[in-house]
Amino acid sequence: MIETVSLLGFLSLGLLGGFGHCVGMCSPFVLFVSRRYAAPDAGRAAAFRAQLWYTAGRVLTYAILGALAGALGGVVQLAGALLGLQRAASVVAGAVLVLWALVALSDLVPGLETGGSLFAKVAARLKGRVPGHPFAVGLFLGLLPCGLLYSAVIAAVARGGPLEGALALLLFGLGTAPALLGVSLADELLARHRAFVNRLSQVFLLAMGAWFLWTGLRGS
Amino acid sequence: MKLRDTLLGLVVLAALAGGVWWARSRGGAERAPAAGSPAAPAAAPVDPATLPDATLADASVDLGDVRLVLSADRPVVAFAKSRFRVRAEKDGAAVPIGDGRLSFEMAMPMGDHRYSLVGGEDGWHVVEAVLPMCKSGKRTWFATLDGNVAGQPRTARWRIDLTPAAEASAPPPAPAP
Repeated sequence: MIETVSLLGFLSLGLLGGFGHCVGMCSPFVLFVSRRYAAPDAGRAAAFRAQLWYTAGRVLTYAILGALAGALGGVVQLAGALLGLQRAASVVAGAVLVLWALVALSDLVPGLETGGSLFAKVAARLKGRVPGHPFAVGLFLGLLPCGLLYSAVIAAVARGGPLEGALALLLFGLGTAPALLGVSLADELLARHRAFVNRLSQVFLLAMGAWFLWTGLRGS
Repeated sequence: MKLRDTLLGLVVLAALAGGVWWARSRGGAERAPAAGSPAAPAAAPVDPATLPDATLADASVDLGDVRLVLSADRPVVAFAKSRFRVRAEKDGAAVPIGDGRLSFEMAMPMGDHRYSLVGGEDGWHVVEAVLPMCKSGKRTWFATLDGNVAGQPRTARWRIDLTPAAEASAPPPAPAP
């Protein structure tokens, strides 16, 4: 029988996992949100606002998962239902990151720069498809396959009810926020406004997007 | 302005790196006791490769007067319910495990999954657990048993490598001609 984890335990799991896990896995999405939803000249407050909306969406999805786990009283049914959904989320998120990074990097490759090419049309279409608000991105990306999130959902089963499960996952999500907001701040101070470092982060987005796409398609 | 941003950015980066170090240093492998010990004393760093491996076969930890065995339904598949069984033996006979608990951790922060042991047949104590797998591909979990055996608090530790769900559902390779 699984032992009950205290609410403080969920917060601490989020905090520890945020630094030990999310910084590596989720930083491409943090970079993406800043670049997509805050213009470079909009100031730090705009980027921070976008990150807060993104975090709020993510945490809400976690809370819903926690409520489901608490209501079902078992994670196996939830795991089965979510695995397929999460693979799809991984493929979509990976594809968006790859295309977004390719659009950002396109001016480096002769013939790919925007201006009537097929690539430009794809890029324009992509811009129309990406959600218009970072809150929606957070809601969707909260579904990404993540072992740490699953750990929290499994522990939420023992909370014994949907409200308790939701509260537990809410605290877990909030615990992950400081590390990811730190990534956003570092990006804002060091990368986003420096052409060369910004290029490097676009390459990083491309690589991580390809990896999410590949692992989602492969089913791992 | 740019210099100030750079310095601030480096401070934030250093704080993040410190946070990563702090989080990882609290992970399971570093703070857990060695493969077997009578109690759970302050831990020395452990090389996971030296732990008994219960992935492919039952694995035991010999504590001198008692022997602790971990068995699992194999393969242990990620995200699926798995049954783990623990048995304590003294002089070849099963002995009870009081207040037994099996907990699972990874080297990276993935939570501490604790399960109370439930008594089963032939001295086996059972837990059913669901272990997730990180997208990074790391699949090694550490199972730690804590409980009172033969009048003493005991701790034993094993490693278990998960099988990804996709590999578990793949058809077995065709036999060689």
